[in-house]
Amino acid sequence: MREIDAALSQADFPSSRKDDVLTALSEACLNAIEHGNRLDNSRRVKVTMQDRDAAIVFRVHDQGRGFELPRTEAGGARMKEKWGESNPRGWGLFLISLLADDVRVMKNEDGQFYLEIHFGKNGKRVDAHAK
Amino acid sequence: MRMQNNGFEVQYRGFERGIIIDLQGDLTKQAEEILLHSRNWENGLDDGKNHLILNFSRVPYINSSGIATLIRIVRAGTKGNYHTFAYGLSSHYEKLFRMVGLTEYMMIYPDEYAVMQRIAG
Repeated sequence: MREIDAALSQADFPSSRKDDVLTALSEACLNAIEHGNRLDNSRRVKVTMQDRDAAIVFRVHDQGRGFELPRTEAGGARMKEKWGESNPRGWGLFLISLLADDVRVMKNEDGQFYLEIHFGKNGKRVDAHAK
Repeated sequence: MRMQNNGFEVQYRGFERGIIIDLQGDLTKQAEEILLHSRNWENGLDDGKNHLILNFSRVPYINSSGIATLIRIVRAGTKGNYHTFAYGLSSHYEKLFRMVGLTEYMMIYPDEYAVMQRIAG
């Protein structure tokens, strides 16, 4: 995370959102380790960062089979549902979806899944479809 | 009383109307053992006390597992008949707590004095 913090400083990224990035990435990596790689020490998690015109884009790669992102548009209802569970887990993706401007599960040319997370620069939210 | 696990530790301090838990270290899955399994929160606090104060001033990092643990403690307050307060949180974690709904059940104050004033009032 120190490297990412340093890279964000160099990328003209608003400092007010740095903690959002670090939290979202931390949660994404934890999910990748625990669920994607199933806590297998021989499997790796790779994080890449791309500095685009309007956004910083992170990709978190694991060696798992991918997953379906839970719906976030009904955030309030989903949150109430989780509070009612006997062991309310899975807040990681929920936080990532709220902290980031866009989150997608993608697949690369080799068929490996990764989580793509977008953060707009200059305090502006971005559409992942925009360049 | 003090308990420790993997760098995370807690100390309990009693006061007339409740208990204060001084948390120290990263609040992650490892903290669950100490916080959740050391007592049955639904049975309430000791001696009929009904104010639980969580001191986060020495907690540098909280992840989603730590948040899940806090949710279970706070939620148990309904059955255990206690109210939960917190202080020492950074603005970032206060924001995360708001996002997951914790602030509906946990009142956040800047410091211990402010919490005590609220309870005494």
